[in-house]
Amino acid sequence: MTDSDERLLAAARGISNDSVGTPDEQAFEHAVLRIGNAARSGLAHESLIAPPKDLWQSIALAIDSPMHDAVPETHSAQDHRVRDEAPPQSENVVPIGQHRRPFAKKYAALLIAASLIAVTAAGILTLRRGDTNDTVIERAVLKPLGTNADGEVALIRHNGRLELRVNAKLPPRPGHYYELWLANRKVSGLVSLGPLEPGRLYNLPPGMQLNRFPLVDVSIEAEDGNPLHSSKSVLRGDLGDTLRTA
Amino acid sequence: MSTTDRPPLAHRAYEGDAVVNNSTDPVARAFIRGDADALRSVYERHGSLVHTLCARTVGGETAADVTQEVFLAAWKSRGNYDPTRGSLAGWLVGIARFKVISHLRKSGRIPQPTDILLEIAADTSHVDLIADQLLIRAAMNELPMRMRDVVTLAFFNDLTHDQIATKTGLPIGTVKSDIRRGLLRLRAIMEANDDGF
Repeated sequence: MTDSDERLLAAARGISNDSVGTPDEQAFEHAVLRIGNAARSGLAHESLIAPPKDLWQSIALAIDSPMHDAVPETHSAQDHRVRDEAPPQSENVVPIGQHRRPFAKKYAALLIAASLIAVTAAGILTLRRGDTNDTVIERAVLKPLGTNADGEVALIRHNGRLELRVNAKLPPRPGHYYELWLANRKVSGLVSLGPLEPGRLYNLPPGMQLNRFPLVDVSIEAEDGNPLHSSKSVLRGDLGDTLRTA
Repeated sequence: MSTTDRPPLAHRAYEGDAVVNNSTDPVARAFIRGDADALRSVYERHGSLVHTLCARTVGGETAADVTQEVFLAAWKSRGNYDPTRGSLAGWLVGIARFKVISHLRKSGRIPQPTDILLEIAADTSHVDLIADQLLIRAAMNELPMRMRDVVTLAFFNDLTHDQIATKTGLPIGTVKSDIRRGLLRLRAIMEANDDGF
């Protein structure tokens, strides 16, 4: 105990000597020592470090998931659900964290993930750009969410069908893979478009109302067989109002 | 710091404003009710505090991941937060401390507490110190100006009570009283940190 600690304790005892030696006072003295130790270390004067700009969006996406209220839910084979919204008949939509991929698709995802790891092991994953004769309807920047990554997404019309093409630079993460999702404005519902693969065109589900799911989300998923959204998004972009007329 | 054998701070009969009672904080009340907008307010208010602890301990890009884990955990266990026991900042830092230590153990930077010897060997004091520093910083900002000045002169400038009285023109009894009451407030926040979640 330093002289300063002794002085501070003396000041404290000077107010109420009755409590000296009691468990409460002993705890108080301990607090004085902790405060004095922390204060003398000097770091309390340093500036706080702000979190990454987009971290809140990532938190909000996860918070909006019923998963975080621990509400168990039974899923149908198709998992047609959006929380707080009428279930559309033609959209594979589920709240974040409650998505289930079909069994065979899950293993396909693991195989794809393995190929992704092979690619990312070389350094940076780059998804190829599309053909020049595709009609680009809309582009959006994919902004990083607390990670060193960037990319863009394009909504294109290819042979009469709407497709998404993603160009992204993502850091390699052994034992993990990246997955592409569409999300609604409230980020309370997601549609999985599958694992992110180099050069892949992502066909949009027929009849899907894209204006309801304009956010493009890339999550990082562990190779643990868990089909739920990991709640860890690394990129997100907004295709915006253009989708309403697409 | 054990809190056994002691009544909750808000129930103690000591000087009127000597305890921290956040039960009237509308943001804290809304947070406990599960208002997602309140969570955003909490994040805007304390996000930098939590992230600073994570950045100074786990560092790098992992800090953002741990910060996110802290707010997800806080949201999930919001019903455990008792505003009569301390500040929301202290409670959040308690969660952050737990998450940081858990991450450091998983990454092998401190030993896993597989037995009592390793628990003792697992040095988490640097995490505790940084948590204390950040909490004190936050708590100091909430003290009334005069009390904050007196506590700053006593703790950070290491002045004696007489020197503080001379410098501020306050009676020596007021100096001692301000130090005592300021310490009680700081302690209340630190206890909320100790309680965790």
